[in-house]
Amino acid sequence: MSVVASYSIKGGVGKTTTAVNLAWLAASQGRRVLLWDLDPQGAASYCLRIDARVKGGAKALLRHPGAVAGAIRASDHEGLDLLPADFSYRHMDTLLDEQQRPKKRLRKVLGGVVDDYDLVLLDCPPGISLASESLFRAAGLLLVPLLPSPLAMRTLEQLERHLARKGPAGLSLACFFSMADSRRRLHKETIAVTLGRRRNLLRTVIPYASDVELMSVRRAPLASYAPRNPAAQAYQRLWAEVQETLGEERALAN
Amino acid sequence: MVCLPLDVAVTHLAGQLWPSRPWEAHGPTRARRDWLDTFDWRLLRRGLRLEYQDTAAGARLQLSGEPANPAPLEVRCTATPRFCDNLPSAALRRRLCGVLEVRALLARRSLQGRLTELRLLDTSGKIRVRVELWRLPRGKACLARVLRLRGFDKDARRVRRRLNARAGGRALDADPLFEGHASLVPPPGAYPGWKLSGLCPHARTDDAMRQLLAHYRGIMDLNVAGMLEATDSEFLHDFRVGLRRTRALLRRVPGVFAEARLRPFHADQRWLSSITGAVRDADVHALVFPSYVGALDEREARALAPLLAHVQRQRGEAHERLREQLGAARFARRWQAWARFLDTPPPRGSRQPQARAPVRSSAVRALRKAASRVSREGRRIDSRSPPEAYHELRKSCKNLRYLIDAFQECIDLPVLDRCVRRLKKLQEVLGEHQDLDVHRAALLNLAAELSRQGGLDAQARAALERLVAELGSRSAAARQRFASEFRGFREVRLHKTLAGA
Repeated sequence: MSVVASYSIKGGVGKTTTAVNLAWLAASQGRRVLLWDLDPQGAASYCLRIDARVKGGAKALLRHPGAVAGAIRASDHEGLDLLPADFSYRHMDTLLDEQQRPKKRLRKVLGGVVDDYDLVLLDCPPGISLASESLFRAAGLLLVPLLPSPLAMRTLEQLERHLARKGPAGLSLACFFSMADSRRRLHKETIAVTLGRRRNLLRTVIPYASDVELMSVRRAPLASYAPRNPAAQAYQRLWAEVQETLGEERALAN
Repeated sequence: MVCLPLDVAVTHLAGQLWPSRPWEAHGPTRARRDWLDTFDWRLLRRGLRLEYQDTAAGARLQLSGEPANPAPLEVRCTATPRFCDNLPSAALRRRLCGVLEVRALLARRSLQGRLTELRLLDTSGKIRVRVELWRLPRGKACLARVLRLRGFDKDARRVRRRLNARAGGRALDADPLFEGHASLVPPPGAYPGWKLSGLCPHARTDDAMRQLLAHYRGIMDLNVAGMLEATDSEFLHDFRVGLRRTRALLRRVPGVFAEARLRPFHADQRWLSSITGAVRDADVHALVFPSYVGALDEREARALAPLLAHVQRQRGEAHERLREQLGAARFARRWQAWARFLDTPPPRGSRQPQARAPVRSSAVRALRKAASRVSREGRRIDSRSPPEAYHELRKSCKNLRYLIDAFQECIDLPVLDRCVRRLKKLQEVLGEHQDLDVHRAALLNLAAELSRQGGLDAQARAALERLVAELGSRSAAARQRFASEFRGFREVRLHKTLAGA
């Protein structure tokens, strides 16, 4: 089972859109996928038409890792299940702090469903905290959406420095430009200057598209209702790159 | 599964199941469900059910019946998997590979029909329950099945209850794909074993031999179709085992049938043995070589990929040749002639020296000879003996085993059980030694052939040398174990015990 976290310190960069669309693309290829909506706002749950509510809240999930299996809901898309958000996730840091070995807790929680899924995608809340540390240990790959701007690059460097110092050994980081607006000079220049110069920067650029915003109206992954949309096609390319990064094809062949 | 009246209307049914909620109907579309299992029912014997569903929404596999996992495991796929390696998910492979081993998955039963899916929606438009309606062709039945959606079990239970109670339906004990038409499905274990029970010790030898040979022919016949389709290498394997058992009986229990009558059949059996032998070798190479290569490190294994592809190609060509040969009139004609010979009652006044003797005495005599032959050949073997000596001994051991299997019931001596236990161990050592030796030679031959064609680079040749050396050391280890296993066999003293029987 591969675990990919859609993560960024910044908010509003396309983490949820990325997580939902990649989860759908993976499931549509026949993988058994679990999307865990860790953001208390519950946007991913909303997009998949599932109530952002977990019986017993975050406390139950963290205290009784077996509870995770009962909290999972099937989405309307074959092969894609969701572990919904809950408003209590806003206390995740405090609740984790009460646990033994809090940084390993989320990994332990996911251990209960390791046999049920080929891929787990984590839709993470913004920020860097104890919960982030815990999900760094649960994930094998951090997928970081970046707005094409110098500030976003600066935040990425902060994250890289932090992971180099304190990150777990097996964690990889891959980033990509998201919500790129071709009409904006700053976006174009940042992409031109950066693309191909960073080892962990994926080639795919997700364009800004109003159809992406419609996900919250349609309550479905973009690629399921507008597969020809440039952003949907960009997500397909991104998924192919993520698979390459994960080396998943080889793992499946084994 | 619920069996509904044939004239049930989809909209009417939806209204009855949960009137206050909106339902969506999708379909009908053509759909198929296949029950997959091996020809010897390996999954069913372990209580497992593997179903392949091909619907408009795509194909998927569903594994159920695992005691540790009450919820079925569902995986999407693109085609019916044939072997364990073709299973589309690592989770399925992990669960099934140990059970399937080299056996092929076959569609043991199929249900085809038109499928309509009913979806119960909530206020946000989320699907909460899915119900499949199967209409089988020619008005056979209309079956409804509530699908499991994780996290929505309560709604599914409610719909299932109403489906049973209010739709005028009849709950079936089980899914008809698997058990509803039991008569169509052969019972587990229907594939017969090689041992024939009920052989009377006082029966005439020619009668008993005909019974045994007809039993072997019956099993071989069960394997002919699978052998032609090349679905599973075990069909060919079992056919060849039957052939060897047949030849062992005819050679080791002589003086029962007129030699002139048997001569054409001996020729047929030699022919069958030779045309199937090369194919069996190709099967074994295709089955075993990947595991040898898989044990190397990743770089070496990659370098030897062309060799494995070549082995698979050779296997395909060998099966194609076999199909042509077995498809020709000669096989059908001679196979029928053998059946006619076995069906004809032996002449009551046969002049053959052993024909009228009680089968027990003929069997004891044959077993004594076979046992002393094994002892004689084994005693001659030492650490310097050529591989051919081990091979000859292995063949003699096989013949002895075949005779014991054939006559154990009518001789009925405890020494035979002890002998079989020891013989199995000896055969394991001999088999391992010979297989490794033969595979080493085959690998070198294949490598030489590929090198001539420019298909192997220096890295592949180096990897191959390492592999061949590894097989050589394993073969030497098997050789060292031979002496103790042979000693164990001789301690049984079968030859002497049978002298007083």
